[in-house]
Formats: sequence, C-alpha cells, structure tokens
Amino acid sequence: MDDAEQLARFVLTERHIRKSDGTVRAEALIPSPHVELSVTRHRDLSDNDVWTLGEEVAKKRLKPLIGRADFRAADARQQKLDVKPDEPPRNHANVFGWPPEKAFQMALAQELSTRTTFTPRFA
Amino acid sequence: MVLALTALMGVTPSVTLPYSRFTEGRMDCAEVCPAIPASSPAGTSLAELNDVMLDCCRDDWDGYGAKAVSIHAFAAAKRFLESLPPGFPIPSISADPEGCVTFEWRKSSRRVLLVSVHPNFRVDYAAIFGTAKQYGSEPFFTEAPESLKSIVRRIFSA
Repeated sequence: MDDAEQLARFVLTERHIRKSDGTVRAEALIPSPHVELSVTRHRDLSDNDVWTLGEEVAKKRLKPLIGRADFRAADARQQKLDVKPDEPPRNHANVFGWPPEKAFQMALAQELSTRTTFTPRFA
Repeated sequence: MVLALTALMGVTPSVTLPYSRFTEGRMDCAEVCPAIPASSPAGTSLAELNDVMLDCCRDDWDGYGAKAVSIHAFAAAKRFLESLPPGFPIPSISADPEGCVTFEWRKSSRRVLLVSVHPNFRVDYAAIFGTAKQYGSEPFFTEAPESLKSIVRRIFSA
C-alpha cells in the first residue's frame, strides 16, 4: 500500500470528537479490544462512495455515523505501525503493529490523531 | 415516546430505531448516576463525568466493541477528579475502549495529556510536548499522581 493512500476510520460516537474544536480524540484510534485498527481505504472511491461504506458500517453496528477520521498510510508508518488490505468488505484494511502496553498504544493513537482530519457526516 | 417524536419529525421509525435504541440505553443507565449540579468548575467536570457514564455504560458504546464503563470505573474516575486541587485546569472527559474513563488536558495538538483511569486505581497516560512524548502507568490511591499534575502544569505554562 502506497504511503500517500488515504484511510478513513469511521466515527460512531460523539464521545470521540472534541466539542471545543471538532477534532478527533486519541480514543477513536486505540484498537482495543482488537489488536488491529479497522479502517477503509479511499482508493478508487469517490467521496460519496466512502460515505456510503461508512453508512453501511454504522448500520451494521446499529450506531449513528458521526463522521470520519482521515489519515494517510504514511502517518501510521511514522508511528512504526503498518497497514494491510483485509477484504472483504470492499476497501477494508487494518492498521497493525500496535504494542501490547496500553500507555504505549495511547501514545501512538495520540500522535496519529494529531495527523488526522475529521469530517462530520453532516457538516 | 420515541415513535411519537419520530412521527412528528416525519421520519420513519425503521430509520431511527438504532439511534433510539442507543438513547434508551442511556436512560437505563441513569439509575446509577445521580444528578450533579454544574454550578461550579468542579461541578461542571462531575456533570461531564456523569454524562460519560450515561453514554458509555453499555458494551459496544463506540460501535467497535468497547467495554462498558462500569460503576467501579466511574467511582475511580470520580475519586481521581475530586483529588485534583482547587483551581486546577479543567479536563475534558471521555472513555476508552477498555471501559476506563479518560481525562484530557489540551492546550494545542502539540501540548496535550491523556489519562486513562482504571477501576483498579491505576492510571495510564500519554503526553505530547512539541516534538517530545512521554507515556507510562502509575498507581493512584487517594490523590492523583504528582507526576501527572506536574505534566498538566507544564502543558499550560507559557
């Protein structure tokens, strides 16, 4: 996967967004209870297509789609993490290489969140 | 009530059912969270903590399998919050996927501390100061660890 690839983590709770400035909190990017962080690749998709996949994720999980946190594969790699495709579903991928220590995971998620752009579903 | 509201809004119940289910779950959890007046800075934080409990008191509150914030996690977080000295910067409060309450002190994206309080009275934390990072774990009993208070002061110093 190319460094420049855009990835989306769909946000399904307002608890993951700062009310003060609408940015993404680190908690949204901590993989627990899983060992990998589930994301969607933008590759070959229009913006509408990405939202459609987000709506499918939200519907499957019985949650409202709040928005999406976008970052590049390179942003994950700068934290010594990596990204691998994991289809199906279409364009699904996982960010892997997370350390087992919770505080270390928090530190990586915190740094990743600073490189993330949040787009609300309905601006 | 929910159906009546959705009917008034002209939305079909089948579309709103998942969200209404979420809202009803919040109501269920209200039994363990007494109302807290938000008339002071400390009261504001306690009210926010209460709100986090209401939002996150069921498994999978984040849609990705997060554990519920238990009453024990709530109690530990409340003790942590109440141990902060008067006049201390007010954190924003949320929860993490392990069901722990989180406190964030943030001056900017490069000056920020995130603390996760475990029900067993341990804290994990991660901080960014410009290009430097710091993270670790500490026990806490009746007082928030002095090291964390020191990091908060550093974040908000000039």
